[in-house]
Amino acid sequence: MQFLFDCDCTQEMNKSTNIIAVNRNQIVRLYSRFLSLDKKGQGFLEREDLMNVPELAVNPLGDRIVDAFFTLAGDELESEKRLNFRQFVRVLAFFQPIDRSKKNSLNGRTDKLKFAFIMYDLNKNGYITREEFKVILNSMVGANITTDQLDKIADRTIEEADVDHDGRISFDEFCKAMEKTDIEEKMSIRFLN
Amino acid sequence: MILSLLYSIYYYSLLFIFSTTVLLIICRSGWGPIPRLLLSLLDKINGRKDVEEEAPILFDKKNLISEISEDGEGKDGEKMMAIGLSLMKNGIASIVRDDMMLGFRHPPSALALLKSKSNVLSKQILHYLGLLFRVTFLFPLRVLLMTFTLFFLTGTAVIVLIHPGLSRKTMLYFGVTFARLFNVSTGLILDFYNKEHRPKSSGLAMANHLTANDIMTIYSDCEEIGYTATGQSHGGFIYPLEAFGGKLTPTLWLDRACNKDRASFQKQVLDYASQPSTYPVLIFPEGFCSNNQTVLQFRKGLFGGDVPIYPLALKQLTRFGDSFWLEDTYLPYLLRCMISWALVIEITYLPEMRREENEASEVFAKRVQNAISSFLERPSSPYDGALKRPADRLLYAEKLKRAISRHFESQIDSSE
Repeated sequence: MQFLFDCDCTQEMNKSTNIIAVNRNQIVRLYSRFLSLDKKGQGFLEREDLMNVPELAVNPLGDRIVDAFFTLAGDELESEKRLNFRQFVRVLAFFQPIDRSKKNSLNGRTDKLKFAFIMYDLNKNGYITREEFKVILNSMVGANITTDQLDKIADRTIEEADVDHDGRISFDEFCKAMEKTDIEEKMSIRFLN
Repeated sequence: MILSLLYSIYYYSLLFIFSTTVLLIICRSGWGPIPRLLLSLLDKINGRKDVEEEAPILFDKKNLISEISEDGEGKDGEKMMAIGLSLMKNGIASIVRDDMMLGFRHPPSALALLKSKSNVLSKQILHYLGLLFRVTFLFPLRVLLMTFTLFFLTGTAVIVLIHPGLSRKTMLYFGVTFARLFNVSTGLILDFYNKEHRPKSSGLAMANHLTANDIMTIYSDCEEIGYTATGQSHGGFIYPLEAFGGKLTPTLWLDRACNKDRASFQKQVLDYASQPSTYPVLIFPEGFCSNNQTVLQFRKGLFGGDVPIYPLALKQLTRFGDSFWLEDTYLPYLLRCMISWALVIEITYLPEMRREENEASEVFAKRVQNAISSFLERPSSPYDGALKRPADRLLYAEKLKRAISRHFESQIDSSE
């Protein structure tokens, strides 16, 4: 049995209603997961609820992932503090494999890249700077690489993608740098069907 | 008057059920379908059913270190982006299903047995009446049965020590009867499926690990041949069970503390398992008890040989009682089991598996793990059970950072 999960997705360009078809069984299990994450039984999730997931706590980008999650749940200008179930599923739906038949689907390539971009853009000003790369890289490698080497890697990363040489990466430059990457494989998780 | 009448009814029914149960088991019989019928009656009264909606969502997931392992190609910027995406993918996947602690928590139904979750008065009354019945009737009954079981165990162990020439058949009878008596004292209701795949000769029998009592659970279905147990010396209550139980069936002992011995122990087990006259060795490759929500990563140690492997899948229905061993010590766990309604476990024998030529032991181990997990309709965990400990998780986090930094090492050297 299928039912359609209706959600409003206000994006800058596209104010349209997007619909994702989900299997009832999986929605029930997602709801069960939502409830088990909501340990205090508040009916919504806060950042620390997600940070308490053990596998996420071990992930070097755990806090960035949670931040991006809450940012995309609201509108991208101001991130949410609380996540209800609808918002929870909506963000997770971004990671569905891309459905090529639907043009305006939630899980298009751009939306997936948006999540990654927000993850790197620490101060949410729409640009990823050299400093922000250094912070991210540092959390990934810890003390295993010296500060000098870290600087070099961050410099090289910026150079490779910074087309207009303004010392920082915009969303367009980011998407361009990712052109060769197989986003479908890298950012899809098949759990809703 | 009424009170003494009630007391007599209580006392005599307790005695009756106790003695009938013991007699039935000693005569190789049982209560038949009656326990299951009582459980379905209980279901009707409570209006409850098994909650499969709480089962974890099934999808493939790699562990964090494997996830980033293929990201070491290309230029620095590409590498960093690729690793970032891999970490992101795993992060989102763990929000949907966390594989590190999935196997180690009580399902909500287990907690519901001790405290009523309902707001409805009638349901609450029913719950506490049930609790009263369990504590005042089922629990003393099981304590009686357990006491008898321990006497039986000691008695038969002594007989075995005095008469070393006892036939295999008699030893098997002792072992199976002890197992069945022990099972009934802990409130176990068992069903075995696909008996055509039950091991008939030597090899390695592998099962997922639910409880400390798994070996008695599995042993109770033996008919022609038993199992060889592998013992790890535990202290406390388990010690006599192991020491005496080890007399009733062949046992290979491993001291958990001796890590150096591990390789030689593995060789010993594999050699033993390849001899045709031995009982199949019963192994729990997960290494830890898990709660039946996932199958922990199998330790590859015993998968390198060429002996047949007999997988067993243990599944429990938790709404009557949860047999997952979460407590720190054995006695509180046993107590909790004895005051639940029943521990309902279904064991299915899966078809025999063998390592293919040139198949690596990790690959074969994963294959067997997947055979059991897909039968149980549960995720096959990419993590070892040791990660249930916070200290081990911290070590894993450091190991992950080292693995990531190794991707950048070659570039660093070449640029100096």
